[in-house]
Amino acid sequence: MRRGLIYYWRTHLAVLAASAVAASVVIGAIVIGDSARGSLRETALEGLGRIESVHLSEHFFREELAQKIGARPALLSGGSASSSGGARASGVQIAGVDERFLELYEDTDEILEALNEESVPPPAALNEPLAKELNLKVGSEAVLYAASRSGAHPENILGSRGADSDTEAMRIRVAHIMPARGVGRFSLRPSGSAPFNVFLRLDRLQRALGIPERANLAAVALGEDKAAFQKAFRAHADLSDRGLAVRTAPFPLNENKGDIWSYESPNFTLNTEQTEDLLAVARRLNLPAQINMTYVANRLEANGRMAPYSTVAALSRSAAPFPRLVLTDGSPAPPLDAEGVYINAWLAEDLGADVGDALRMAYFTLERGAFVEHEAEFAVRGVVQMSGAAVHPLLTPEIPGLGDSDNLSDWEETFPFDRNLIRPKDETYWDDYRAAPKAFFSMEAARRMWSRASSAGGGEATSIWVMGDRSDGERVRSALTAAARVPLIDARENALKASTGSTDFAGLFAGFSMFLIGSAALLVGLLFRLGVEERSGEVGLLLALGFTPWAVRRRFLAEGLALSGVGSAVGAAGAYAYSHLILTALQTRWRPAVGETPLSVHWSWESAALGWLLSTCAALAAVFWATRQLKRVSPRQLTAGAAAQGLEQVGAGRPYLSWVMVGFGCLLWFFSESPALFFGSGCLLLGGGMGLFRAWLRRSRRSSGRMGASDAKRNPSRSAASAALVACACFILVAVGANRRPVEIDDASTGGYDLMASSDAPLYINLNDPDARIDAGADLDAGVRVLSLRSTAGEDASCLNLYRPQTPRLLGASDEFIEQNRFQFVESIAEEGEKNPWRLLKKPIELGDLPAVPDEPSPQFIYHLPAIADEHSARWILHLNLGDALTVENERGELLSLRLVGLLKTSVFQSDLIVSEETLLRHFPSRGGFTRFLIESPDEDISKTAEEMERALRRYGFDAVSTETLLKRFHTIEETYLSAFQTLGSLGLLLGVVGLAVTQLRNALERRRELALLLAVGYRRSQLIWAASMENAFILLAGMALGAGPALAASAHQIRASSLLPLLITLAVVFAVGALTGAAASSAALQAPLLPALKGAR
Amino acid sequence: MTTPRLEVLNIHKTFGSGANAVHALRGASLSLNAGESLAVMGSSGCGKSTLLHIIGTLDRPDSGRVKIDGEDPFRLNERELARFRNRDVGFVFQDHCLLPQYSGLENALLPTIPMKTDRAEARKRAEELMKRVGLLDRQMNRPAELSGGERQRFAAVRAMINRPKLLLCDEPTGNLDEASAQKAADALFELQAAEGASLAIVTHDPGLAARCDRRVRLEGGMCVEV
Repeated sequence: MRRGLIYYWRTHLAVLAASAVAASVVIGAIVIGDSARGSLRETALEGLGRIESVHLSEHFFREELAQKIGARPALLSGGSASSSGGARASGVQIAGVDERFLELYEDTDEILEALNEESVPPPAALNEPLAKELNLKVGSEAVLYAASRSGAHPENILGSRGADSDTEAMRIRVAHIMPARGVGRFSLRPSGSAPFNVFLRLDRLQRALGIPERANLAAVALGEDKAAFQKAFRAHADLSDRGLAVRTAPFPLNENKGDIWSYESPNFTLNTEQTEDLLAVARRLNLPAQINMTYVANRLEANGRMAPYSTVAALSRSAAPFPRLVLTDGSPAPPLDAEGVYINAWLAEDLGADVGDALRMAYFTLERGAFVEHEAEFAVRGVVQMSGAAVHPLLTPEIPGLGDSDNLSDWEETFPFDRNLIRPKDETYWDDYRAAPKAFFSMEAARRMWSRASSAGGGEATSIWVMGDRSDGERVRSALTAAARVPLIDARENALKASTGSTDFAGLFAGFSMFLIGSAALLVGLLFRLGVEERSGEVGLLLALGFTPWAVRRRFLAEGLALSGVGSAVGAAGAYAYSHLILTALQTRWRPAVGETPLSVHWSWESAALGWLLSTCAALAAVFWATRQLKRVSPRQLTAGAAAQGLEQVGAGRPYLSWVMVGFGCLLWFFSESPALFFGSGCLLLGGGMGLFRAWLRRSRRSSGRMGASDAKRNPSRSAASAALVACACFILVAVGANRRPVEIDDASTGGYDLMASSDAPLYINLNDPDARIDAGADLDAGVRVLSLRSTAGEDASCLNLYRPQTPRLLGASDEFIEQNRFQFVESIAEEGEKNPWRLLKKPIELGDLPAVPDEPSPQFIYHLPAIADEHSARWILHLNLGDALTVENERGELLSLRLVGLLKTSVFQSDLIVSEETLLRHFPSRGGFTRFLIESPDEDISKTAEEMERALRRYGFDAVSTETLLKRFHTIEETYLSAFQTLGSLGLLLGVVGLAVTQLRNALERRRELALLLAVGYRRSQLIWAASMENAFILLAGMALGAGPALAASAHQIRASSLLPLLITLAVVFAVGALTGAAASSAALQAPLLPALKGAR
Repeated sequence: MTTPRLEVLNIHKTFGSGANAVHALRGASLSLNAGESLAVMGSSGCGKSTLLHIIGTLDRPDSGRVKIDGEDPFRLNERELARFRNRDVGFVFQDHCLLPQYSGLENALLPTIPMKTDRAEARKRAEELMKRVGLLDRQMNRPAELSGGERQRFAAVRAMINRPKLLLCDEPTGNLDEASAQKAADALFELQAAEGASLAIVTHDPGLAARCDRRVRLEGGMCVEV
């Protein structure tokens, strides 16, 4: 073998070079994938320092708790920032830290020193991206805005604070600017772009946010025991760490029965988790419990009289000896039906009402930022004494804004409040009974009116009473804290998972390079076959000497293996350069595809070995193909030196497979609607067409024709392989070129909305309310309409995020949004006749109709919910199809299986997964307010509307972008990928041209004797070059037609007239380059002295 | 009665089809005994080489039978046929067909590879044959460094290396000058005689044919004893 390799070194060098090209591309694609993943991993892990996981609580826990259990506390808040120069930045991460947190990172001494400076305003350390965005330098001042985190839930009528109070503003002085590395890149959600980070000293941020000595983040360092952390957290937590407060009072009726422990929330209402946990604990400890709900009525009316601003309550039925309502006749009040009401004796007298009268109640709910007054009518079932439960001090939690004021009229109201309605007798009631409820409803009626279903701030209860002695109180505390979920975000694990990337770059570039790899393999096969043909005499001799055909083939395969192996090894070196080149292109020319993510080459020997193996196999397969006919060629022909002809005769039967491919391609083309299937049909037509072309060359090789075509038929396989090389390149160039199109901006993709906005701090105001606009200082055209949507703090699910989203951002579609039925669906599971697929979000999932969730973690699995996503994001980023499910956790750690019931055509929702608002409220109750906005603006210049809203709502980190810009941003990425595809297609063309040139050269060399004879009888050299060029042009044109035809067919459904000219130019360039190269090769071959050829020398 | 080493019975062979069909052999028959030599003569294109290729199983007849020691080699499968060619047949072509990348010795040793002969033994045998035909001092030269006669003598050594029953030569001296042709023919007959092989030579050279025990002429696709 060694002798053969050396003796035919020229041929082998060409094979080796082609193998090296294939290997460079294959290994390069793997290295690019490794590099993308490695770079993402490095970037994500760098931002975590030594953080392994974090507990990020929705409640603020005591800093002291973190200290006790050795965790590193921090206070983390999303927000925005603005500089005195007017620059604004949204998506700012505001972190209160001290040395305990900073020691998790390297080189933080300067930061700590800066944060410890004493100055007014307080010092802060910013990372470079934020400083650059705000144009800040050390010593500059800026204002930070963070969502206000104290008091009642802002969506409760008692918690609504208005535009000025939903956020806290803090002026800071820039004391240090850190690079976007290490802690400067700190982020729990890996992102392609560097985060905007600002650090303040922990105690200063606590003070600024009004939550002294509280934190919401505890970091667990690498190597620390996570389970031990959770155990210690539970062991040392108190009720406040769970967002609970407790008041206690001795039982007034029978002291021997114990005390009442009233569990309440600083948010005024207890959420579902708190309510359920409290009831479960009481049940487990065998302690009596009762649910209480208190609300504020605007008016209580009966008999034409009215009592303003009264508290009203509902008490759950309980068999336990809790204080009871006692009717005026001294009997205990029986349980109420949903239409009945008890009124207290004071109200009965005030309204002149008695049993049987109708009591009309007016009350507010806060719906999507707007106060909506409701009225309800109840039948008075009894009048209760001003004693017992009716006046119990624990029944009504402290009313926000009212507290322990001396006068009712001092109420710092959070809802529309008419002080003029307050009468002296109301003040007297306040003096005597404080906030004692005046009317009592059944719990059923209370939930109907005020529960979370109608308002995000409604809650399940305002207090839960548990009866027991002092030790029982402690047992409840212990049980509650022991039952507390201490969810840990496995930041490091998430980062590693996310860094596998939303886009499989190895697969992508392998896919992009598929035709290039195919071309290189084809070239290997072509060149090797030329070598085999050259050595046909040797083959014949070996067969004559008794070598079996397989033994002969094995000798060639051994040479092929050696060449492929060495070529691939050489290609590994080329792969390094290739991947470097591609990564450089990704960070320059193709930057939109990767954003700001820094990419560097990550080389691993394992990947190189895998790539080497793959490319060697590919090259070997090509060699196998090139030698496949040896088996069936007669030794007589081979020894007679008629190898090429002999090889051509074998397998020259009818091209059934090619016809089948063409047939299937046509069928697919006619009946398919999917672009992927169109592409598939193009590929089939390409493959079939090439096969038919080869067959045609073979069948008609004996017939005479014009010089070019007839010469091409001399070696049909060789000509067909050359044409195939050109065809592959043309196919990809034309297919990609035809797919290039301008971004489609229409109502189907924008929904008719002009702007899409997001805010860092949730908005609780109704942006369509003129008063709220005035309150917020937004001078907007009256015609501007805003649709506010709730969302979770998940990750961007669009192609703008290079990381694989672990928990995609969920968007809650409100009923209003659903009924608008905007945007266009590509597909949905909606039944025929249903014109609004958005309604699927409100329908329960019928599991029988859908495939089961793979690897379903059944013990935890609870909810199957419908979701809608943009087709692009679903398919390419989340890797889901219609009917597939994505599993995420809700706030309680329960699993949600979000089943895709509809896919949107290219839309502005590429970053989100859309569920119903109801789903969002139920499963993510702490995510109050609205953070995503769709805006219609009658103003021609929508940028004015955007600017005005951003200015007025800068405290919220409001960021508006035109839907057109957003779609263009997504489209740019698509275009970038197409550019990459086209560039690699051009490289394929280069290989095609090389193949053509080699074939041309080889043909000319083989025919030297014939050409010499022609020269001898008087032909001019230029005539012969022209003849050879004609042959080359024929193959070139055939290849172009074979490639461009199927590509155009595959793109016929979306090709535009505007794409045709660039395509024609591309094809003209292909032809010019191919023709010139062929002519140059022919010319070079004919420059050799021809006399020896005439004499028959080899 | 002893069985002839080679029997060719009523062989027909046609190339192409229809109007373009060329009937190369139309019932050619001949026989050859062990140790006997036979010259096959005839005009160009009369089918001499075709007959030789069929005898050597490089090509298959359309009809008729070939028997070697009473056995029809065309009944063998592909692997057995290759083994048969390797063990029982030695070829010498008009064009020496030496592989240019190998030395004379290596070319001579090629048939011993499928035979799996011990290398030392094969080499000893090759040296013995080369010595017999005067090539011992040229064994390390490559074909390009050898004269036409030397190449053909190496081809003869290669043909005889496995001690074949049949030595088939297709115009072995056709490309050689008189002196070289003489030497090559000497080598062939020397080796054939020494090894006891049956020799069939296709030739136009009456001198070479005259050295054979028997001569046949191929006329109209049939063999006629001369």
